[in-house]
Amino acid sequence: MFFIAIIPLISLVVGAILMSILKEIELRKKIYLLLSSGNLIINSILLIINSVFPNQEIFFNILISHNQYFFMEFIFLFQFVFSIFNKYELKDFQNAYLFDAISLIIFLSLIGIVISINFLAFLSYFFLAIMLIGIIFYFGEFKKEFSLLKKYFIVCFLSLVCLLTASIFFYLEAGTMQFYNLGGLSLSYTNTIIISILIILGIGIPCGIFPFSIYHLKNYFQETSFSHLLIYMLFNFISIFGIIQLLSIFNVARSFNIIIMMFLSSLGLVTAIYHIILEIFTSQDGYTYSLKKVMGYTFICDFNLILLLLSNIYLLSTPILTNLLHSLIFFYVSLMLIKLLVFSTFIQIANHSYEDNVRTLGNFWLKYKIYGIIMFLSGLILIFPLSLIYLNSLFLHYELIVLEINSLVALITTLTIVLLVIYLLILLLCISHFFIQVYLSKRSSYLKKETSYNIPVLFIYLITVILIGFIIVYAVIYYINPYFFYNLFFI
Amino acid sequence: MSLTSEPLSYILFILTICCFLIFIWIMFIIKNKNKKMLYSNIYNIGLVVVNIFPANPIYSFIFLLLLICNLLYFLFFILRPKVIERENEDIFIEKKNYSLDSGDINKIIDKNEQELGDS
Repeated sequence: MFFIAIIPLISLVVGAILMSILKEIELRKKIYLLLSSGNLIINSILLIINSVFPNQEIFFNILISHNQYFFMEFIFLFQFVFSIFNKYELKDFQNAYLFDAISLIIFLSLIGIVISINFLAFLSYFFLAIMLIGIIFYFGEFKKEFSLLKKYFIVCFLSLVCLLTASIFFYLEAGTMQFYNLGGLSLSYTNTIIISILIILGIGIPCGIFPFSIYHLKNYFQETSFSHLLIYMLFNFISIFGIIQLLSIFNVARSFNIIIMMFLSSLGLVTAIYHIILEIFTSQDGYTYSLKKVMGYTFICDFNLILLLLSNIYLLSTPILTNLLHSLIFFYVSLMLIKLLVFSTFIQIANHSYEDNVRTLGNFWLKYKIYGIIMFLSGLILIFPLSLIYLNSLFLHYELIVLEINSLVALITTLTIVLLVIYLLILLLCISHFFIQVYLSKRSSYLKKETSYNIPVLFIYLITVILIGFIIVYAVIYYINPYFFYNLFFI
Repeated sequence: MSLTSEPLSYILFILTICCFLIFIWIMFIIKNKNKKMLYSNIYNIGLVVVNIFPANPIYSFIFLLLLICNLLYFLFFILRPKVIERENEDIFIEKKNYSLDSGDINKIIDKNEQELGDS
């Protein structure tokens, strides 16, 4: 049974070796697309089977169960969208075959993050993912200076040091590196604080938590392609999973940890929002109305926002805490799906131009109405079901929080809700701004690519149906099974 | 010997160390940078797979060190010289030339309009 469970992983390994060998671009891209769609289908089947007949497979340092299939489904969904971007955005360039192979190793290492139950194995996969995300930045149609990602790689090593120190502390206290089935192990107060802060910094720094925030990622977002950005988006999403899962293992509900988490994430969120506004409305000091940069900053916002909401929820008592964690995870998962849907509509921009300045892009409505409609629709979905469901769940408990808990917690909760609403408004502003500039604006002055592909409309229909289908299914599950999303993070 | 036993983990550990030594030896022999990249990449794939097996923290730690060594080698000794090499080639366009600030973009727009007018 275990070998059936790891079929998608084996196919990724085989795919990575195949990509390294195959030199013919068209054949390679076709195989990549087939591989990703095949993986998505196989994993969906395995997920359904595992939901009906729950089964856990432990093999050395990995655990595969229903929860892992759930997150693997996301990874394969992103891989599917990535394979379409890869096919139509990036033309043939030097060592393109290695780019394809490395991207598959990144997906593999992200799956590794999800399925590993050993601290050092987790750390290895995490470090491999962040380093390879940096390395593939240099693979592309344009020459990129090596020093562009200097800060990024420094941050990667800082992150490694933090996580390695956390693992040493964990080993000294627990006597094992496995973080599965610890049997009620309770760590000392000081160690819990040290380990959880190191984990927050170690995972958070590459994802844009405060001390660095956007500064090490600015060049990455500016000079990268949409395909690279998609991988970074997925990495950010999986990092959130990693951070919540690891923090849930240690009893992190200590006031000191919460204050640190809150301080770092709120500053990270505010900084990223500030840069989004500058990026959209100004063109001074390196701000270039860049679509990729704005999208990249929103990923940083997502990470910080979830961490902020999480730390706020940890302040509350058990029944409210469990309910709010459940709705937070549902909100985050659905938000990622919506952002993936918005991102998918950029494929025509990536296909036609290297430009990402929204002021120069325009007039796409004439030929690509469907992409515009989907972008508009995703904005609507963000407002109506998603924000409504989450804000509703927050306000349902808000009265209880204000009444039952001391005024400081109530004040912090109010401020967090205000930040959440501001971020949602900024996100809507970004989507509507892109929609107006790219689709409705009649004035366009972007440099067109010499050759562009004729992308079948089927792909965007397929992605839209799959993603909206997923959102509907999750919304139904959210209401039917009260602890489905909460249980995802507690192994 | 069961699949999750310590001896299997130990055997895999020894095998990986041997593979790493072979890898270093091959790296010294190969002069072609593209092939070096390919080898390094395949070694990465191998480490991702083998990383599942260590049942002992020391083995895990050594696997992590091997991974770090390989990534650093890839980054500084293969990729960096390759990027510098590409700087001297004319066919590569520097992205900065036309996308960093609005002034440059306006120049390109003017140039395009001029070309359109000429044609």
